[in-house]
Amino acid sequence: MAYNILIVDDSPAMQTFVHRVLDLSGLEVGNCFQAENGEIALDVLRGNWIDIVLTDINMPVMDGEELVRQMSSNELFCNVPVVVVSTDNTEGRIRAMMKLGAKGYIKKPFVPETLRHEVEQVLGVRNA
Amino acid sequence: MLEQQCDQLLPNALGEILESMFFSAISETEVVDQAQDRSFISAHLSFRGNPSGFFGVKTSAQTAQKLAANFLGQDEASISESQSGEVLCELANMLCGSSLSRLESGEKFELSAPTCIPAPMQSVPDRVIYDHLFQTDEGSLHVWMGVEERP
Repeated sequence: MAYNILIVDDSPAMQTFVHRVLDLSGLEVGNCFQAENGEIALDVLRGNWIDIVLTDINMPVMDGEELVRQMSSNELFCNVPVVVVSTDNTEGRIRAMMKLGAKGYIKKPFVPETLRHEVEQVLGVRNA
Repeated sequence: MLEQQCDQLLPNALGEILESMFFSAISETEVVDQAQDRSFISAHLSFRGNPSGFFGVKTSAQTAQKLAANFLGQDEASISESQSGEVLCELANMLCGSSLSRLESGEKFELSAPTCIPAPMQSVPDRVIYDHLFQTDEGSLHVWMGVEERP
């Protein structure tokens, strides 16, 4: 089964990095959508089937916190798992994001294996 | 106190970032000579929290290009100037966030979007607490951090 993934990050460099890591991970990736903030991410969610969202926190227009809040309160998106990918590794932030509804948290910097492991765990994928 | 923490935490944070995401490493650290060439590309951002302040990373265009090639998994020759800038901004963002996370465990902070400019920072931080030049596999990397004085 190929998974449709939405990467939400205002940094084109980080979008490319995450996309490349996913491609190399061995995970079956279907369509990989990219959005530069939460507002655009919600538009992508309205028009496409998304299996998992990987989002940064600090972004202009709509940040990752608001994106997770809006997804959690929307009956169409509340079951789409969100993994936060952020430089903010403080306990307070991690707790706040998980409480809002995020299913995983990846601290930057991360090695490619960490991203793969977290995505597979959230999607319930088992490696052979 | 904060200066001492930065002396220890920033090299560790930079080493971790370079190793895990840029396939590079630090070979040497030295205090910056203020009279050095200022024509480098720099990325800077501000942060709000405890403490609040400014953060910057500066390097040569060539080193920025090499780092971008490593990060994006592309040939060095195919890296554009804007890609070099974007990757340097991301490096500054990760290094600042990673360092602040180690400084103030448990407390949230806000980072501004990093901006890349072909000249050094115009504004001088109220208080520079960290100013070092790192030698990496790709070239030298100047890192500085300033914090605002509390009233």
